Amino acid sequence: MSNAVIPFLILVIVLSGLFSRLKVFELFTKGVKEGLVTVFNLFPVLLGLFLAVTLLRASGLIGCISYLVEPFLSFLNIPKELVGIIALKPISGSASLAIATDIINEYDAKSLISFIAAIIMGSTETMVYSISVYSGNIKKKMSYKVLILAFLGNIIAVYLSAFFGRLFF
Amino acid sequence: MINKIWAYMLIIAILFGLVNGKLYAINNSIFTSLENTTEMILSMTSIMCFWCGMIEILKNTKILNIFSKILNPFLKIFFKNTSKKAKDAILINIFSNLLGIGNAATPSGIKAMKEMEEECSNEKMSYEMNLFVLMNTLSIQMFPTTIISIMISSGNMNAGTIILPVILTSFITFFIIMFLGKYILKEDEEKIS
Repeated sequence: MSNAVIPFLILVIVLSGLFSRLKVFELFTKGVKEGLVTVFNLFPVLLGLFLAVTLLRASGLIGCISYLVEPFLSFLNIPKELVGIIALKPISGSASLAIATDIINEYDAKSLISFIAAIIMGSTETMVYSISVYSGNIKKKMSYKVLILAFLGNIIAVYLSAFFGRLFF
Repeated sequence: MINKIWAYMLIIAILFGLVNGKLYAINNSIFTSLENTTEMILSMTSIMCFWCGMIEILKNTKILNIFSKILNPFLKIFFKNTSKKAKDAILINIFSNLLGIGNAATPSGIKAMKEMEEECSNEKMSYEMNLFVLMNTLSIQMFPTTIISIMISSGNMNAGTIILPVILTSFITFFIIMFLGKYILKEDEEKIS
């Protein structure tokens, strides 16, 4: 099913372009050019941010935080094996995906832990990345309350993932 | 905001690593991190550009009109005073997020922010801008294709069963936080003005 989503999407887009009598290829190349500019502007942001995250991980601080939040997780009925994903998903999509793959291989793809891990991956966003990309491109100051709410949303999503994970498993 | 966060992240990492005796690991990871970023940017350039091209076609078709009619009541709740241009960019942003094309969501999201920035005279972000950033920290993905394909390749052929709990989790969270955000951030703006 997941194999069909993207080819199907391309089909729908190109067909609806033809039906709307658009010069589809010209539009496509125009969009690609805009994409290049976006990537060009994104590079400095990502280079700086990933450096900071990698250093935090290398210093052992992220591991330390994982250890500290463990009691809190067991209180919310969230398996403690998922602490790495929960700590890293808000910061880095690729790092948490690496951990998720690791968990799926370690605890078997059909286990409850893998099931919940996959739901967390699907239902939470890399919020630090989003905040830095969107506010980093704007000169105006963002309200600190956005940070608090985003953090709260992340906790709710993780809690519900474990809850629905158990329910649907 | 991001200036301070970035600086503190670096300072804390280096100082903590120093105390923790991980200076060697830090020194090594500086260069691997830089290399990895370049590799990642290079490999994502083509995907990102491809989706931008597809989205450019999509933007000019009538699909978006239909889609925007469906989403309009939703936009009215949260982004009442936003211009037509910004609303269009917000729609594309939501659309790409729903389909899980994060790489296409970013350019339209940045465009929406720029449009809203022009409407805002204050030096702080307007209520709509704050709410839009908040919205993008929440997941509304309907097809988590990457994680499903990893599960399938690891031997769970029924990995599609995560779709329903994923949709339930993300939509409940989305509406709780967006309504909270609507009241909390709005109140904030009224205080300023």
